[in-house]
Amino acid sequence: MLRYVTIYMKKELCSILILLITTFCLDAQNLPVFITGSFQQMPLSSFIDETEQKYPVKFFYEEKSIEHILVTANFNETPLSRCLETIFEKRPLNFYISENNQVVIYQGLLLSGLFPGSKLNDEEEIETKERSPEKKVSREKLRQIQYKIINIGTPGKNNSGTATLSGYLKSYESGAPVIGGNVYTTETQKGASSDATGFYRIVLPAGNQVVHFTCMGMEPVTRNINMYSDGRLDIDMEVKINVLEEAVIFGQGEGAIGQMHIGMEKVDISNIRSVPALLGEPDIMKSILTMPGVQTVGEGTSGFNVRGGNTDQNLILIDQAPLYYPSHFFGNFSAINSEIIDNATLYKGSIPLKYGGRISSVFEINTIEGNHEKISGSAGISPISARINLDGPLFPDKSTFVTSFRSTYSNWLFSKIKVADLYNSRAGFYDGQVKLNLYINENNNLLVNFYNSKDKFQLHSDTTYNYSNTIGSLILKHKYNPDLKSNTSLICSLFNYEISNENSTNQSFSLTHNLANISFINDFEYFTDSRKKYIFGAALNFYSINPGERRVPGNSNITPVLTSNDHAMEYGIYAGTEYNVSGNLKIEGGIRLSGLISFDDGRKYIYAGSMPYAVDNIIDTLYKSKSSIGKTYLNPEWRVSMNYSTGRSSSVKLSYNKTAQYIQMLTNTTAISPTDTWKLSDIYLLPQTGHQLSAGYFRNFKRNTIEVSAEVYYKLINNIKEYKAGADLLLNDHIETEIINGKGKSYGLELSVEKRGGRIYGRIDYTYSRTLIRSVSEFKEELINDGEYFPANYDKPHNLYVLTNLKASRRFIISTSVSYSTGRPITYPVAKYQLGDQVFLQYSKYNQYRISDYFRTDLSVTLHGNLKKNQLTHSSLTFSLYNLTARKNAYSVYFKSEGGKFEAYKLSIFGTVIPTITYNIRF
Amino acid sequence: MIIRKINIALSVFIGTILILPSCIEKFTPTLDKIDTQNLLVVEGLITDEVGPFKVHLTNSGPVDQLYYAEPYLGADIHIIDDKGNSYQLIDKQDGWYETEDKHLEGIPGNTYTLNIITEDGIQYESMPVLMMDVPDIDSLYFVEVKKTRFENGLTHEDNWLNILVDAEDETGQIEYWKWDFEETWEVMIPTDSLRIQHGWDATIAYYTNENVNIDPEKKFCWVTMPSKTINIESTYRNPVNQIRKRVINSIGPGGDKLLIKYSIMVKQTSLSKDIYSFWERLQDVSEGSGSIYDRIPSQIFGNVFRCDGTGKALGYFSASSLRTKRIFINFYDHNIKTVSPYYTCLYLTEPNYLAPRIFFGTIDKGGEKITYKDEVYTMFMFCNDCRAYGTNVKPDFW
Repeated sequence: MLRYVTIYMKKELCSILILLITTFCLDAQNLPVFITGSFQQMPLSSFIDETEQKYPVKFFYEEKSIEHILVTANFNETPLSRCLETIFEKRPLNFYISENNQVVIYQGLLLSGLFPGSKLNDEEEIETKERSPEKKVSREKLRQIQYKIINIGTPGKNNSGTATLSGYLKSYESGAPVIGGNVYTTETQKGASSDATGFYRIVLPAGNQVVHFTCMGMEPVTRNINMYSDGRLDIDMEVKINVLEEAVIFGQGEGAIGQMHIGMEKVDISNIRSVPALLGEPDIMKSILTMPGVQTVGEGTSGFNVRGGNTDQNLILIDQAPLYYPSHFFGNFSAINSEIIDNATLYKGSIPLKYGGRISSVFEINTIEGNHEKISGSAGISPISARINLDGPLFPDKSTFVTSFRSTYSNWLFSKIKVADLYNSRAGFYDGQVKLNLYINENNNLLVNFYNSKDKFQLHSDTTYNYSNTIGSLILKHKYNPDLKSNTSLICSLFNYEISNENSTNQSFSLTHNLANISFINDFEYFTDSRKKYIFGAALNFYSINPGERRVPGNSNITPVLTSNDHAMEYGIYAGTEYNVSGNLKIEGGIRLSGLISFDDGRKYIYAGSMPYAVDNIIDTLYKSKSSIGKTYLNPEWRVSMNYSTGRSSSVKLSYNKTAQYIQMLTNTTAISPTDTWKLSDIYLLPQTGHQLSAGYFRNFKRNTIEVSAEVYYKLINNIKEYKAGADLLLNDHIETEIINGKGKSYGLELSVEKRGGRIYGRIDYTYSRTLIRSVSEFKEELINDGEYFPANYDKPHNLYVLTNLKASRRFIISTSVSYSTGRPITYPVAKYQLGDQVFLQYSKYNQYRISDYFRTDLSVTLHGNLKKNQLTHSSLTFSLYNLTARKNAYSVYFKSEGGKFEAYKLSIFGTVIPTITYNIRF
Repeated sequence: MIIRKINIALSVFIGTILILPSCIEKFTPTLDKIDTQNLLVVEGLITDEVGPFKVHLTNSGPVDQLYYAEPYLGADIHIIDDKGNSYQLIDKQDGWYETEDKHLEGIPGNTYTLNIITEDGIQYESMPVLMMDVPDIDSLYFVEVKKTRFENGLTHEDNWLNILVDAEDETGQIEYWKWDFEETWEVMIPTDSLRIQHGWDATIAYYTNENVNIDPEKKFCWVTMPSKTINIESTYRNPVNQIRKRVINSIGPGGDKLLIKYSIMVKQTSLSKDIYSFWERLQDVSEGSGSIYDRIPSQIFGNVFRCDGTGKALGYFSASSLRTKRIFINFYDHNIKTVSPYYTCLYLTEPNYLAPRIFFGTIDKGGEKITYKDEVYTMFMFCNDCRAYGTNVKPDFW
């Protein structure tokens, strides 16, 4: 045993945590050891050797930590614990004695403060210490700890009846902090989650209880604790290798019950990889589309709609930085390599106070921290792309790096395929990220991140498309003291596109659109007493947007259009609290004051009063000086949520949310495309605001292996942007003439059943929802459908998603998914008429009809290579069948004239079974 | 404009990029009864050319049925100008309504309004439209360009003929332009006679030939076709209201238009902002493929409304002065590949004979039934009479 530990020590494969060694024989008697002997200036190691020889005791320690310690003492039938106390007095060392007299010695500073006097106790006890020297234990031992009772704090020290348990959640494999892990107890229904450093803090009643630690993609952990007073408990969590391991520990749940926020969806990263994926590209964006309340206008399109919101109403954050166009290939693939995603959370109901600027949802994606011990990585190849990522320790000490790169080789494929449609076509993309996680000291951690993605393609013409996202960020996590923490970030996010034609002689042009967003955000968390946590902070967002300009070379016939950039400053100041009112009731609430200062730069049109904004009604053009304040907006955003436990395994949640949004994407096509432009609110374009009221009931069954939830919501959106018929949005410097403000209302019911554990994982989600929009204008001629409510493009009332994951054996996993949804609304041609010699179509009212319902079944089979632990690489082979029933789902519908008659056609791009083989390798 | 074109290609492109057989299927959408009701379609353009004022009224038809522009009859139509004149239009035929006075001409600067009362008493009125003075077409000319085509895994370069206009409005008044055109080209049956081969009957040991001459009246014709595309352009807020190298028509290889002699007459008119956006939207919708990257189509109404405010008529009423220009292009002026329209006619193969079609019949001859056979020589009228394609009346301008 000792050798085992020592070997690890020599390799310096230390995890941050010390783990406790378990009993070999549970029936061993708990016999205290009494030491007798006189020691003069004896090195501690010799003392240990001697003691081990004489008594039934085993010691575990790191040699370095006990160097230079000399023992001078006289013991006479002194209990071992007291002996060690004497030896370690005034030394930064702590020890633990297990019931079969195994002694672990380790360094620690705070421990004596946290656990004074408890060393005398011969009961089992785990004391852990942040950043103390680590001993790696086997997985088996790690799992056995859950059967032990752990004493926290000192008996009799606390009379308040409650105490705070805090500590760090870390990955057993990499030592990286586990972010967003849940900590809760089923008895009290209290819960907390870990922050970006893995730190958690929870207030618990004194006494015996079971604490659960869970996190998406990690094996759940339980600890039996006996709470005396404030104390620390660090937890190692194992990565859930959902296909390889059968370990099921009952009594765990994902903890939606204890989770404060309603309408919060955590994406199970390991599930992304086992769910059948189109062309073998696991995709974070696709995976959230399967969640209740999330919809899209069609497969293979970019963007998603959350609870009736537009695609531009979602704030997509990658390592805290906003990403403006999150897709490659028009939405067929997400712009983020799923291999390096650590966790992802979608807030669709109650949005945390620290986030603002979008009204429908926040999708928070965090990439992995990086392996602290060794360089590791993975590589994969699919029909579309090849990818590789590497991560590992950066300096010997606690800093890490993560890099990833993914690129297509479709240009090469194109050259091999002789299809008329692909003539003169090219397409390619790449994305890459470099992230450094710099450990400065105990209290400061700096994250340096750079991300870039680029798409370039040509559609059998001379015109090339280019678009790219670039993100640079610096994030400092600082701890002022154990009660006050801050997160300060400086982020720069850029999006731009260029459409150009350089080959043709007199039709050359280059059309560009740029968005630059620089933000400075400072978030604070302050714990006052054990039941309250305050959060406050501020965010400043500076935007500079070029609405679009067309540059032309000298010999071109095309008119150049040059514009000046729009500038604005968006701000948000917030303060709120999380308050545990009682054991059953938790309330979180606060206010975010958000606003926009829009600057005028250059030309500004003035419209005749009491007339619609139209080109004909421009009565004056003002030329404003640079950066003069044009318009300011201020919106108080109240947000309240409440969680009330109605029993050991059920809870009721309520929330009200107000949100405001000052930037929008202008698009009047069904699906968004990278040529859509972003536009800031200004004097004419009012900011969008949303109000959402939601309620939910959550209940777990069968020892938390089955989770059932029901949520309802009602949402109102003001100033949703709708477009006049045939609106021209490109190169239009009076965009207000093309836009009508709308009012949106959305409501729905989301039901979800999830079964975890065992060989079968399953999920059934059903959503009923409606999203209706009404245009609002004082001028009747501007109204869409005469001002009546019409269904939004993404209004699909019924949605069903069923996922099953069967582990046939440890190396073999079969996964199937079924999706069904009502067809999206569409505007059909209904009549035809003739003008001159041409026949034209007259269309129905906006979105009056629907395309046929959508149904798809996918199947995938994953085969893992040899499971031996110590091999260099682990590989897996996935065979998937997309659209198993080969149903021809309508992608788009169009009409063609044939012999004087218009025929309706539907185009299905995935109208057949698509088989794919993907090979993945991990090292 | 350029951007829109790209969007159309997108959905097909995505399908092919994924190397998937994208599939297209016919289907029948079920339409609401209210949507398939007929609507009044108005088409009216008042110009400064001499002639009667004309308006065409038709009915729209349901999209899923065979359509012809059913004339709308029995309406009472007036055109009123801002000088207090009112002109009554009389139902002539096929839904065309004309003034009795055949020598009217619109006057630039006047404002015209159309007023319709249908047979069932529903009143429609157009927005008042101002007739503007359009400048002349500076030049109408043609340019040969090369276009690349992809076929059977190879690229081919073809010559195309572009017909272009230049125009300029020095007054700065005309911001929205529209061009229509009329093409006329000569066709000729490329043979003088057809050889008819007799002797099909096995009882005749030898073949006999007979030459049938093609009547010169049926040999030379002229085909005239109106434009079937929307040609509009905006110079709104351009520094100068100038049209340069605007492609009006483009003629590719393999056609018969340029085989002998071709002529095009371009008519230049101006549009109001309203009518311009009406045409622009029509163009947008007719070019759109229904792809999810196309603009969502919408109901397009022009400037004719029901007076009770409960609806609109389809179509438009517009007024503009009209400027025309004509050019001729002879076969020796260009290098475009041409093909005779009579290429598919049998007589182009050697020898120029017609095979007879044989009919069998019986005759009752005094109780005795005799079977006989008869030979009939038939040919498509298109192949021996050019009047099936055009007219043999030489146009005045030819």
